[in-house]
Amino acid sequence: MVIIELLGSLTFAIILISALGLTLIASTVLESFFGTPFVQKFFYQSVWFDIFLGFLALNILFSVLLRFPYKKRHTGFVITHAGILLLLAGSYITRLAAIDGQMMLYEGQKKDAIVQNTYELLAHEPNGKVVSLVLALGGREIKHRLDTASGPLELTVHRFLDSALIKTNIVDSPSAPVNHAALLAISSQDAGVNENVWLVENNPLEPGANRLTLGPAVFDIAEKPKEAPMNLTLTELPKSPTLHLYRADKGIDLSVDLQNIPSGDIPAGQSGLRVSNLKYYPDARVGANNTLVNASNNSQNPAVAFDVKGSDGQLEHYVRFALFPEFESMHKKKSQTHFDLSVDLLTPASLEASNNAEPSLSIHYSRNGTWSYLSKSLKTKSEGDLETGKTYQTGWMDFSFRAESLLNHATVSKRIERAPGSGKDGSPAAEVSVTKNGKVLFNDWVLEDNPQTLETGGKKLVLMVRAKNLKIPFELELKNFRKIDYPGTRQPSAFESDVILTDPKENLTLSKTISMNHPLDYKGYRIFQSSYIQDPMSGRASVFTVANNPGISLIYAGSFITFLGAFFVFFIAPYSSMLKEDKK
Amino acid sequence: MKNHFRFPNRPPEALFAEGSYSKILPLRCAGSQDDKAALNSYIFRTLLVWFILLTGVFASTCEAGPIASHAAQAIPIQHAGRVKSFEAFSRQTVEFITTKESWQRQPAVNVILKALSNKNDVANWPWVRVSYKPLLAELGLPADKQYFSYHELVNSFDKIETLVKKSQTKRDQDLRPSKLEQEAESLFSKLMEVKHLFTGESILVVPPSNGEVWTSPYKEESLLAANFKALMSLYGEKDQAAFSEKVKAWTNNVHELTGGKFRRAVDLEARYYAWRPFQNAWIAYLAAFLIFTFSKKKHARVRALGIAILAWAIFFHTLGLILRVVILNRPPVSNMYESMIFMNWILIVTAVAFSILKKNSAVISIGALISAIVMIYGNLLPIETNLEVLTPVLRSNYWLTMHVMTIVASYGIFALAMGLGHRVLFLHFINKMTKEEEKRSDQVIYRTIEIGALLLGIGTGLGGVWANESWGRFWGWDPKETWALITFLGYLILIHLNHAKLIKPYTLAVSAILGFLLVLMTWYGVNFVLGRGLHSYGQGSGGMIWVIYYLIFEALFLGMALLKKRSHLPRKKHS
Repeated sequence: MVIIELLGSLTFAIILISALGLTLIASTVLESFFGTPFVQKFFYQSVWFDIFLGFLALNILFSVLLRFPYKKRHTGFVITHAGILLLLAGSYITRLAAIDGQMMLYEGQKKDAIVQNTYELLAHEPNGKVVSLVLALGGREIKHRLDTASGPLELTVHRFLDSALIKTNIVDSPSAPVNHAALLAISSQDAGVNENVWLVENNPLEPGANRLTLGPAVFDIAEKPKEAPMNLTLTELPKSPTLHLYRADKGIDLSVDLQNIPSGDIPAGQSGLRVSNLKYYPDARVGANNTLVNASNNSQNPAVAFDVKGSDGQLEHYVRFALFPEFESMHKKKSQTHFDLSVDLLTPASLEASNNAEPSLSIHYSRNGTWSYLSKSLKTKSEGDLETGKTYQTGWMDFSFRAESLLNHATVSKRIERAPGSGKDGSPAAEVSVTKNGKVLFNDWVLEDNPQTLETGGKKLVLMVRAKNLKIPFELELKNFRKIDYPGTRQPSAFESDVILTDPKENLTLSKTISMNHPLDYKGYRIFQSSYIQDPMSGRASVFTVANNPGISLIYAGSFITFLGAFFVFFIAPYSSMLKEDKK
Repeated sequence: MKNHFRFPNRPPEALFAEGSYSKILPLRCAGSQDDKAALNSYIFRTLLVWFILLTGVFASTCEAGPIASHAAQAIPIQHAGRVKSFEAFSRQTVEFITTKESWQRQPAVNVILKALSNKNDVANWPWVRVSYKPLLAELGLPADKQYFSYHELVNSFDKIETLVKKSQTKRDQDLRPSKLEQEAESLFSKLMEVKHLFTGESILVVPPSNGEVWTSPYKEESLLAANFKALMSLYGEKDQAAFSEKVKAWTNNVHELTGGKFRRAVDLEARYYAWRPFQNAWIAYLAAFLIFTFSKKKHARVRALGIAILAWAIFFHTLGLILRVVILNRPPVSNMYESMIFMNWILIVTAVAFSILKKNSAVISIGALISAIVMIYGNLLPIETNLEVLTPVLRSNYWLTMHVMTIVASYGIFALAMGLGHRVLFLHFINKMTKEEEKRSDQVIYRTIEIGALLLGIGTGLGGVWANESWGRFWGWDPKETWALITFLGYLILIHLNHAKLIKPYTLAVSAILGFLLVLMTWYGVNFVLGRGLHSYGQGSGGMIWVIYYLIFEALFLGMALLKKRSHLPRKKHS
């Protein structure tokens, strides 16, 4: 009884309210340093906070009970505090049972599940049972025993990050095997580019890192080609279409005007090679039997086809497209490599086409440790030795580049870190290890939507991280999304979505429009327009918040009763003579 | 001692401007007695006339330009998402670029008209303000200058752009950009504003034949466009009356073309700026406070004058609020400035009610003082005082309106309690506090706290309802929500202490002041100090220095009051 009196005392109430106030001040300050998820986990969603509020509820409950039997003057007091009890009860139900998730729908898309704000690690064998481990921010290590077809495995989640970024670290370590890498600083005022990019000959973490595209431009790193470069300046394009054959060591440098093809074979310098069956197609199409035909006489897709005959009777067939100079070399047939000629088809049209042509920059290393570059577009070409720290012009647009570092023994390692700020740039990731009989089979980060597969002795195991999906009892389809701007601005004044809700159980279909502040209510679920995506590539999408809060009616009732009571205490009781009599 | 009352250094024309007062006063002065009370009343009258003159001077600055600009004030123009008056557009533009209300002593409308009549010259006007020294250093500009022309600044455009990009990256990651980056962003926007002026892009004065998007006569050719350009070229010519007539004809024509649907709002808005309701109000509030404070009870006439001035203040205050509501067609609590003004209105109305109900004239005097201070603060803080459109989440929502109005009303009442708290401490400080007075004050302070807490509680609950209606959760421990709860808990402690009879009048007065610090944190601090959370819309940034001044004042005030109190305590014990 003494304890109940103490718990229900006014002094205890004052102490509790003060402590709650101070706690909340502390949590908001911590939030500004460590972010919202931190305080959600360690304050608002924590067990001790529940207990704290539980004590508040006990205090209120006992303070109300201890005043029994009530006199008239207790009316307001009892109403107010009963209201607060209801409010707290409603909040607790909400905390335990409320569903809150997001659903993103592109126009025309349908879904019957929402994505929740928690993540899970899924582990499964093909056709096997799916094991789900809930990932908690700042949580402890999770250990789980997996019974698989290939025996028991120990699965450990070491760490979970809500927003992780992979940082690759590339350094030169002389003891490592030969692996070339270049860090380029590329900038262009006109294109608004100012970026540092790594080109790595052999990147185990990212195959294909030796080649990179930036808009239409291609950057690559490769060994310096052995043959001498063409000594033709491409800027001086011919007035009429011209075929150019070149091979320095054989002294071949032949230009043929294709508007005016000489009849018969054409000798290629002193080499003894002869060009025959030369044919020019201003608008080439590939016809039957892989032969070229002319579709029109407009220079839409100029091409040339010819044979090269050697003095020994060798014959090679060549085809060149002006607009796709790489085309033939990509499909190079063995028979064409015998003479190893450099072939170019130059047309006035290629000038026009140069705007669409891919500009490229190749970084070349050579065995003797020197570096050079070759920058090309159809219109321009520049090349030279490459030194670190010097700025070079590519010749296309106003692009320039600088080699920040050039490595001969590059080693690539990766590091995971939390994305800055709210973490929009990163994705959720878990650090997972799998061991079998003490032997580590896997120890790496698993990123969201990037499943990892590992061998577990004959069998495969798939690990993936994803947002927890929750099925809802109906399906939603987005028909149309609209964003309405304030006139003359791009500032939105409203956005709304036309949706169709289908409930297969009830055999029911509803057409509704959801807009900001006008949610759709269905079976205790409320669907709100919370955001939108407008992307020229992927189209328009709406982001809905789907919530189901069973505690809300208690919260509403509790709030209402509380303030009714408070109103009574403050404004009716002091002026009521009946209550005053009661006091006497 | 004979009294020779004279207006100190007033130019004669100023006296004539407010002729009625200047004529009455010397007459009264001549007939007055030589005693102390009379001297006091002279001081009040002097102050009063000063304030009225000031009001007149402030009000007359709008009329200082040529008549031409007067007509131009009401030209409808589409800007920032709505059709507004040319006056409002000009003010916003000039204030944005120069951070001042006028430039080269010309009112904003004249500046913009001048700009339009000679567009090629605008890029050479040294009117873009860059006051942040590190930014000047970064851009390699002289540190002793603050105003630059577009042409001077455009050389540093690359550097500005680099900073703006960095800032944008940080914003995308929800990080706060550095001061330098923020200043660069602001400068960038200023340069764009100037550019849009001399390219004519922002002059959207030609109404559309269909749709809602107005066009610029400098961008699209039409008969109307040609008319407007011709009209603008007339500005600065000798015959300003003709210009004025043509402007009126243009305005009428536009209203006819748009079916008259913008006429009322545009005209009212031009008048809103001309009348300066809030400036009139704060000056009158301050005057009323001085009269109430320094006049004696027996001077019924002086006090009646005080009441009249207070009524004048409340009239302008209410008028300003109503104008804003009518022009923007929304409740007057949608940004920081509006909520300050609305809070202030609740404050003064509550003060009037209390002074009548409790027959306590001190309440109204304190109410007038706090009102004046809040309004002055509202103009000092770098917050948007202009009339702006809202983000979708804030639009046309019943619960939101109820939520914000209730909360802001509670702030007003807490502010009154805070003011009354200061009065109690001040009276103690000057040893003028009586037992009777202490009891009267205590009753009022406690009552205001009760009402304020009730309103804050209801307002916070309504916020929950709104949140639940808008995004499906009643309570999410957002910092603003949490701080509203902290503030509520703070006042709740006072209420419980009072029930337990554990709080003395002096402590309650101190608590009323401390409680308002919580209010300030909720209202201003969460967005600006903690800088997180959902409630960040409708708020500018900065103004911290003014809040710090207030905090320093409060610390000094409380410190002095408590020191005095301590030095009194031992003596009481011994005696």
